[in-house]
Amino acid sequence: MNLRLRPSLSEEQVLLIVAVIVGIYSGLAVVCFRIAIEWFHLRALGSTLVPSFPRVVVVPGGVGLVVALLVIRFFPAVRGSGVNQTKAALYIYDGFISFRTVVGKFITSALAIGSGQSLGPEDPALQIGAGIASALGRRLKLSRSRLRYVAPVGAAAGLAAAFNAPITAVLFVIEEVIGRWTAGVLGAVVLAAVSSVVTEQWFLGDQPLFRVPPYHLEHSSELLAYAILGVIGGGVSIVFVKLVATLRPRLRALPPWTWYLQPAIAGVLIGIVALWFPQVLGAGYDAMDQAMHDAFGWRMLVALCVLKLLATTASFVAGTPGGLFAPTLFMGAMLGAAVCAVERQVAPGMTGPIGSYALIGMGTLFAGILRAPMTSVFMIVEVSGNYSIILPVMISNTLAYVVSRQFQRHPLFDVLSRQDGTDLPSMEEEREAEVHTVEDAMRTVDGIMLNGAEPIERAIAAAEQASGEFFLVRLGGGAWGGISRAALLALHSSADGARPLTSAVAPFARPYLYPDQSIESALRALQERPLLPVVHRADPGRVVGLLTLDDVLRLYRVGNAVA
Amino acid sequence: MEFPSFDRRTIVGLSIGALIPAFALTHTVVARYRVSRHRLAEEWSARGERDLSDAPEAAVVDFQTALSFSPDRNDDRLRLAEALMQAHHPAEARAQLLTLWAEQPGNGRINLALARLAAEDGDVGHAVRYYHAAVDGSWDSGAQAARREARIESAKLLLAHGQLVRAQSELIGIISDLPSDSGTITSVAALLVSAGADSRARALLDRALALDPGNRDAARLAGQIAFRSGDYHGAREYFRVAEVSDAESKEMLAISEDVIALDPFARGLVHTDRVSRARECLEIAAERLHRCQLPATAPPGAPLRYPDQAARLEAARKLSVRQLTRDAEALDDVMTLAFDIEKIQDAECGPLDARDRALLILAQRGVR
Repeated sequence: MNLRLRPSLSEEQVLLIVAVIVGIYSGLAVVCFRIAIEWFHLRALGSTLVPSFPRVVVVPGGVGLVVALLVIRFFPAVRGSGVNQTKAALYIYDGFISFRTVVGKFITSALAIGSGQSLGPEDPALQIGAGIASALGRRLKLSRSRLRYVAPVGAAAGLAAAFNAPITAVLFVIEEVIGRWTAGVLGAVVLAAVSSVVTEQWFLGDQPLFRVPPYHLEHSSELLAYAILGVIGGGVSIVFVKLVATLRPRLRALPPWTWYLQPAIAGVLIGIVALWFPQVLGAGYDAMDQAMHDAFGWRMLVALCVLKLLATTASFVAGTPGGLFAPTLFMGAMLGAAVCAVERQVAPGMTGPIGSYALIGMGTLFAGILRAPMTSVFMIVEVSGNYSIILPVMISNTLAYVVSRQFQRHPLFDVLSRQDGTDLPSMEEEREAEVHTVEDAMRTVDGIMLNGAEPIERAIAAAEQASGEFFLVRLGGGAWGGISRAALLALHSSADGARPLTSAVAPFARPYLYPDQSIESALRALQERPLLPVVHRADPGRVVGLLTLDDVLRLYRVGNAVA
Repeated sequence: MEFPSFDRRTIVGLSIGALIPAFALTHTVVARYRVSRHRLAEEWSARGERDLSDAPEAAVVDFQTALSFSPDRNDDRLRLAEALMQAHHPAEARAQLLTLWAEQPGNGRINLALARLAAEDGDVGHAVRYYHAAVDGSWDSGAQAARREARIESAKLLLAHGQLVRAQSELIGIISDLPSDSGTITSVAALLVSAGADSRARALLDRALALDPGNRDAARLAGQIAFRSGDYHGAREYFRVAEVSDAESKEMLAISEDVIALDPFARGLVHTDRVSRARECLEIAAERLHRCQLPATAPPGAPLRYPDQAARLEAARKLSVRQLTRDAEALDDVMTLAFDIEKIQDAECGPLDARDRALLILAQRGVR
């Protein structure tokens, strides 16, 4: 391999190379992270799915104490999931995530999740990837703008390796962290995600995250059940987000010495619950697999959903490092399977496989809690490997998203960032911000358009009847020009008044403005001329309006007044 | 900690170079991790095998734990499904099997397990489809026996649902592949009998008896087939080999012996024997008529119910041996009378005994 980088390599090309390297390192880190979690779980709780009484009571609480000590004393930046920390690196800290945070996140999350705290490894993996990328970007002395984006690139790599799902990772980072499809960054994000997944699969195999029976729609009326799942999922999402949003600041407001105890208390509570429901321990992927294979009745499924919601709330609000992705999927799987189990009793012949409901439930809660609708849809398609599942996924996820938005104004990550005092941009608000077009701001052509074929004298007479300072001149043949009032009057004194106005006006360079163009592009064009014609796309000779800077400003003034 | 400052080219080179030890380290970690997981999966799987026979619920947990360490061990997933079936969790078993099926739709073992679940549910269509997939599918070992078993189960299911023709075609499909095992052949023959394919069944049973002449089940079954087909000599021989003890076979044997002993038209008989048999038939008929004329419920002095037959019987009894020997028509008339009497359908006559039944069988064969 030729390692030489020619001096002519652009920043963008360097970013792509860095993305691949970051992807590989992130993949390796995530492989080790997953092994560390499992290694510690085996040491602490044993190999059985139902840990023994003393272990299950002592381990989560005891390790919670150690984790709290590590977080407060040594790694203060590793609290929480890691998504907002990555966003903060992008928007506040110029792409900076310390390597100490990477190490701290790795150790504390592995301890917490391995000991049974009800959190998942995906968000920490995201932050670990972002941290590795940040460290490499700093070493390479990337420009400030590139360094900012290198953290999300690493985040995509970390998440892709954790989920074994590159499309999901790319979409999540674009949808939730970066917020826009920027071509330069998109390539790097995709490269990082792919290289990390390849690395991860190299070591751990290409088994999908979930192995489920094939999906099929038993009867079209099943879609109604999926719609009900969406509405219930939206409701559960609201409960979870409100619970976290309410309890987290209250626990943070307690005296600092209690912060050492909070993860331990959460661990003890989870341990007590696990005496009867060991499925709530840790990320819970084994229990999700069982739910997808019809291992539980509907009462058990509902109980697991509720208990996981409470356990995750306890772990998360206590400041334990760990992610929300896996618990969200767990709750969704249980809820989806519960809906299926109930439906089977109501309409036995019209219910599809329970695994499909569990999968779609995962996407539903993902859409409702994390409010990343695109990611939630494609995640389920990617992890199930079944495109035909997309219809119920879209129905259920959309309803959950709509219900969640209706009753919970801000998404969870926005709430958390505001609680932490970092006002990070809300991707949801940016996605839904109104985009103005030229059509919204343009005015009619009356009073400021002159006919170029007329003599200059008659044009001056027409201009005197109008109030504007700049006039649009139709030059014929689909061409347009413009002339200010002062220039027109100057023509009167210097030129023959019988000459046609076209002889004194130069045509505008194309393209003209079109009604559907964004205001942003119109403003760029208005830098050159004070007034521009807005023409019909199919017939450039037909002027449908005019746009000036004043028109644009008036549009935003009206918008603000309405707001 | 401050790192020395390098240019980009060096940093990228170092980063790529450092991948080698990073890969080596990760490889070492993963190798140990895999060994550890494999060992744990093996342990839990072995525990599941031990529990499977007497504690299927425990076996379910064991196999689930084994799968948590090695989700791609399809054998464990299949064993889990089998444990779930034994522990009466058919829905969960089906879900596990369908997951496996999605990955290995041509696996005979998975298809056979799915067929059994569908059969338990009475879902004949799906069950037969899975049975056929099991027959056509791949098997790690014992493929021939497993395929035969699948066909036999499929045939049994079809028989239970009255689909005799489809069951026959399933069974005919395995005739050529049957092993030289008298018991197996007999059981297939029994199914063929249930499916209404007596002649094929009898051929199979002869094969079974050739392999094991002491196979009483095969002999009994063959005797019944021979009896139904009117081969009373054959039936008698089979039943004698079978040393039958069940009432139905015993009755068949008795009837067969009577048919053989009473038939006056049997080939190779001398005239005196023919007459003797005809007269014996007439006496059996006379006993029957007597029961019909004077049933137990009849009041004393009640009129005869069948006076015409009584008169004819008296006339026939008066015929001498000589007359019957010389006059073939008279012999025929005697037998016709005996048959007519036996054919009386009257509940008052009481049940038919073996000799009556033998006479009726002879009547059905018709007078020569």
